[in-house]
Amino acid sequence: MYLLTHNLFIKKYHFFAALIILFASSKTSAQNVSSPYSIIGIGDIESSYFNRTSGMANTGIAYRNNTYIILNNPAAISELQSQLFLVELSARGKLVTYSGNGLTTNLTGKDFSVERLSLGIRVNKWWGSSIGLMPYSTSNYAFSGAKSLEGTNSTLPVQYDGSGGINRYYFDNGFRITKNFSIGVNTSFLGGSLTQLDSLISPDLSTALYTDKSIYIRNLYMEFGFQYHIPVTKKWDVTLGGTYAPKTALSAQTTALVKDNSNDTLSNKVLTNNFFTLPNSTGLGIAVTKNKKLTILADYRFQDWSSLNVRGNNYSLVNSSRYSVGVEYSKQKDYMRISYETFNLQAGAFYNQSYLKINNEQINDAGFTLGAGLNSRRSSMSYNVSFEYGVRGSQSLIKESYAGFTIGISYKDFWNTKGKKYF
Amino acid sequence: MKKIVRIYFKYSILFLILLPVVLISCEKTKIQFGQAYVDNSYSNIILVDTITAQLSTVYSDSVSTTGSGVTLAGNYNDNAFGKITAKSFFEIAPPALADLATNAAFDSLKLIIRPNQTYYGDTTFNTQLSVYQLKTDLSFPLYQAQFYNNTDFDVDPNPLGSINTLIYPNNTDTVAIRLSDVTGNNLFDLYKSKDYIMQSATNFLSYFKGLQLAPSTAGMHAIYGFHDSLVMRMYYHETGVFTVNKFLDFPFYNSDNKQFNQVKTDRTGTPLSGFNSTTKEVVSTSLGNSAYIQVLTGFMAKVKFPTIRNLLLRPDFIKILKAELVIRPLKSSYNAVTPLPPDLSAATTDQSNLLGAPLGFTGGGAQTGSLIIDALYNENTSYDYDVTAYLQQQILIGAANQNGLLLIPPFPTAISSFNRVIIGDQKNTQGSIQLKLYYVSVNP
Repeated sequence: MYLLTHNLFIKKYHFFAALIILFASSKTSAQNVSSPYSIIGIGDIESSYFNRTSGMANTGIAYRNNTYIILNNPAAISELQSQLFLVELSARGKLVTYSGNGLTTNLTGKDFSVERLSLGIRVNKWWGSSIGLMPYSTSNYAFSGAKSLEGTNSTLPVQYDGSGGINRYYFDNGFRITKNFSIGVNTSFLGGSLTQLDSLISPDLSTALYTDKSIYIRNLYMEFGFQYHIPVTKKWDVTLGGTYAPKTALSAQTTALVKDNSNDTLSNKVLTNNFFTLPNSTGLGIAVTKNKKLTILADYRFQDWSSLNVRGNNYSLVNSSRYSVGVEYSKQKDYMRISYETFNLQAGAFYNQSYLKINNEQINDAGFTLGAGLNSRRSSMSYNVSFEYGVRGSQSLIKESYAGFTIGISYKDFWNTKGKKYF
Repeated sequence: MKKIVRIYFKYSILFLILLPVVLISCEKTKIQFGQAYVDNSYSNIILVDTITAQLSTVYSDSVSTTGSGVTLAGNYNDNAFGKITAKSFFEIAPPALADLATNAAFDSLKLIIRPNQTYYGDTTFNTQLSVYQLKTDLSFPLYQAQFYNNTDFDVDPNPLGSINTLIYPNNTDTVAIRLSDVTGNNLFDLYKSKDYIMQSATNFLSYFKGLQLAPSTAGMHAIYGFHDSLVMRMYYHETGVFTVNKFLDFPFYNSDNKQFNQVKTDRTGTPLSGFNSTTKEVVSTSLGNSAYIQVLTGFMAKVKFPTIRNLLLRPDFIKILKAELVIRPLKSSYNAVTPLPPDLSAATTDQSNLLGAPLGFTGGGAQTGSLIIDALYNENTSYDYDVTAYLQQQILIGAANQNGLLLIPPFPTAISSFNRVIIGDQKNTQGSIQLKLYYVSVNP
């Protein structure tokens, strides 16, 4: 709320309102690259933060940056430059090629959508804060099947279409406890729906039946983190980071809506009011920086799904582990004794053992990323582009080879500045 | 201020670039994976073919035959419907007046009729047709403007003329029946003298009240249909240097809509013998598991769905999605002599058995059963109806629902020919009615 009262914000609120509308509309329309495995569980759990760390395979539990919103660890936001106000918007485009024993020919799919909008601010000397919206998980699939026509030996063709996802509306606060030790807490509202539409369209019967099953999910979700910065020598710095999100039961309401071909609602019922539990999640990271220019990072993220004992037909949810490493080179320039970044180059690699185990085979995801960022010299804009290539799934089921790019645009301003600017 | 304007400008450009990209909607790729993970038992389409379609035969002792456009004459012994005799009643108008030569002399008078290629029965036998003169006016009963298949008028028992001939309905051009010379001469003299009665149709009809075309009681081989554009032709000649043969046409007159066909049936010894003016509806189970349709003799089939509301007792029932009624004629009931009518409409009705609106297609137009003839095996010959909308309405009606569908050929075919159909109920092995009903099932 301190933002709203702020002079600068009021002047620009048109712009932010427009940004939020754009973001909201794009979330609902543009997500349509198929992800066959997302039919299970709560969909694909997003492992990207769509931020500055995307070029380093989203490695950043121990990463701190003073001009970017870093959400990999809630403690990182306390690093923001004093009096800085930030707006970041990220979008991702993806091209996927599907292969595997289940498919006769290779198929491709692509999409482009806005994924994250964040506002960030350094409130005071020891407190940094960010608010925004980003995806938690997404579900997107389409396939055709057959449904038996009861009372006969025949079947009717049916089209399945899955869509939706869980959004994460977050409020992130990081606090500097000492010069080198920060803690943070990210309070998120997870909300959204996973929808499965099955369309039974029978030319023989010249009729159709549409069943729309949706699971509405919502609850608060907390994540805690710390970062400890150790200036080892004049040249070398080491940062350690850790995150922890406790097990959370999300309320999950399943509804079913049945319509016929004249769009008449035949049935609209709440089927169950249940919970979908997210397990304890932990993350550990280390970052080693040389001369404040070259940073090498490594992360480990773990989610304890096995303890929840979720299993279904041919599948079970199992512990997920994500290993990633990244490296960043930041070109610094000094201006009036303050150093600032002109551009950066990044690379990263990851290996993700996902929470899905299908036919006794864990669905894994591995790939590498490249990234580059630029701070505009004439304006207060920064741009980041990262490229990602990865392979997910197994040949015996469906294998997805994907290439994606993430574009991040960041706008910086200083609030309450009567004095000079530092860049 | 300047700076803010600059920022706005900059972001506007950014939006213009971003927005179209965001709105590009790609088709989602279909990947055949996931059938094992869908629970598709929640909603389904279920076919039920055990709902009763109760069949009955409805009899009407008077069927309007006015305005059929057809003159029917003949008789036929149908072993299902009985001994049927058809007679036609019609009026004749005088020709326009003209001067005839003083020496013009009468030759002959003939009634010329043209077969319309419809017939009922076996046309390989000679048919005897007679023309009788009406003794009374064709006058409608009080407050009515129609004649019925059981309407009768007195005729002079001595025919004006007769013919005994073989009629090939598909080939024969015209049939000419020579009428009495006495009557002919008489009319000729009246015409020549421009008598008052020749001056208008009304005047003429008060004198020459009309004709009846009737078969002889013998034979019983076939009933023929003739175009109602018949004509009574008077031949005469004028004598000069050469003799010139001429004729005058007394045309068919129907401005008062009084032409009709009388159809009388002797049902003794047939399955339908029990029908009379008090027994007007018999369920199929009392009629050899069948129902009879022949409108000219008064028969229609009625289908009722008395147990349709039992669907509502199924906990999973949501809505009738589609319902198809299949009517199957009995295998042995149709052949070349007694073919099936190509169209059979299904008119809505209630306990009164009066004809309501025929069932239509969703897009408009009446349903006529789209007859499929299984010429090879005779098994799948059927009339099919989409009764979805009809049953969706009927299931809403509580209490005793006497509504049903009357199966009859569409008008005017129903009264212009002897279309006959005998259909089986659900127990008839020779051809059974079937209701295929698909409903939406949702887990209760």
